[in-house]
Amino acid sequence: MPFTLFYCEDLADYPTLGDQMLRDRGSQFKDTLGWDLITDELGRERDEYDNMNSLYTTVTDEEGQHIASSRVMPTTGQNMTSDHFSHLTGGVAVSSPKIWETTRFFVAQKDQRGAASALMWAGSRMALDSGVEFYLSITGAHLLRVFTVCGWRPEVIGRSGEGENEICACLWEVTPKVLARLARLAGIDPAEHDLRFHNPAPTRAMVRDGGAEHSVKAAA
Amino acid sequence: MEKLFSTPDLPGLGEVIDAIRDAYSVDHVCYHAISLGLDAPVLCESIGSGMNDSGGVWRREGRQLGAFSYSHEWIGRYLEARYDLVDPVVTGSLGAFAAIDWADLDWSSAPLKRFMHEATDFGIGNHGFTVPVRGPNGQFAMFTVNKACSQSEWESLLASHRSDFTMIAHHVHQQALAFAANGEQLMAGMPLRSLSARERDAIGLIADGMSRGQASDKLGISENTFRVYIDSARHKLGALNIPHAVAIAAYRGVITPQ
Repeated sequence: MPFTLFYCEDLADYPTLGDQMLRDRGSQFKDTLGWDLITDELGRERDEYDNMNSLYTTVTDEEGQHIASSRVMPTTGQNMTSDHFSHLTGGVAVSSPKIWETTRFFVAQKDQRGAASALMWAGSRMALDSGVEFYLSITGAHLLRVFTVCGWRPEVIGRSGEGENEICACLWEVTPKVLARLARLAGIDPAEHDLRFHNPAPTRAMVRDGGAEHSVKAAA
Repeated sequence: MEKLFSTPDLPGLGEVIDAIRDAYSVDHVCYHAISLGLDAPVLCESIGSGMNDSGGVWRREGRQLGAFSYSHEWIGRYLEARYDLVDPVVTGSLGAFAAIDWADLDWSSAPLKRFMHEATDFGIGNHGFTVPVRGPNGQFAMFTVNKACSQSEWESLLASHRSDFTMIAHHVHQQALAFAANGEQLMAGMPLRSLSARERDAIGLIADGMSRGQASDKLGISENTFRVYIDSARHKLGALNIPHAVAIAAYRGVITPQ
């Protein structure tokens, strides 16, 4: 299951994958869930937080099709949770280098479980490498079950809305133990994977130097 | 580590850099702010550079400022050759926020191999860890620790101190912001960011001597939620750890110790 990690400012270097991701976001969050979001004429959903250079973790299938992704932002700069959802986090505009925000968690219907675990593994791995201890997320309540099945049960800090519209602020602790569990569930061999996993930065540099789309392949 | 809590002027920031280098037994530490944000007016002269006590360098130029334990000669050579345009640490960090281990960067091109050899001649170590720091209002800085050592020694250093380096990166950045802001706020460590009621409660309960478990029970939240709230308070107070945060909060009258 290949992973590709890239920053928003490098979207142009991932024309196919980036397009698929933004279109899947539009179809999932705007069309299906009815969130108040803006899409362009091609159905791509993108907002001001993307434009602040968010980081994407993406998972593709063996044919290179987008099957899962999420958007990551540090909470030390401007972020969605503290700007719009602090009523779900006890009124606290959460801000710390130890806490990252993850939003727009997307998993395609097929192979939901493996892809979601893989996505969470990649996100956790990246967080641990940066000394981050928690992920904070605003998410649809419908995803809580998916998260739990995938081996990363969140703590719900706050909720609002009802039924299909219910959203919650969720917290995940990131630890080596969590990482190992996610690797097991995603069928990833961390020992083998350690050698091939790269931070986004070198990927960016390689893309710039080589001009070709580069993806870091997982062992799975 | 006391120096980390001290009031910085720009040479003072250089001393902080040196103190971090010595505390973690690394070869070099450097901090470079590309932007201190729109609301951090610069009150001192716009351009300058000088030496730290231990021979490192501080520089300020326009909105940028930095303090490096690198030698004056290396900084001079780096600027002369415009290595900032090709240095993969810089090109990979700009706009980023995930930390970077230099070993993960691509150094394979001939010009970068030459750059690396030259850097080695100037005493730069083969291993580095860079934390890009993103703050509000477009603030952006890079913080690096660097050491010449074996792979295993480096891995063990990062395994023990990776989180420390991330925390220190942001703390140094806050010190630099305080320096760039004004003298009054310098006394308290950084420009004040207001705490929410929950964050004040969390700090207050720790100040009263409660454990995290007791305090989270008292607030009716999980211990992890409590950790998040108190860490947010710590960061906003410009503190390196919770006791330091309690001290700053008490000093500023954010909480009233019993």
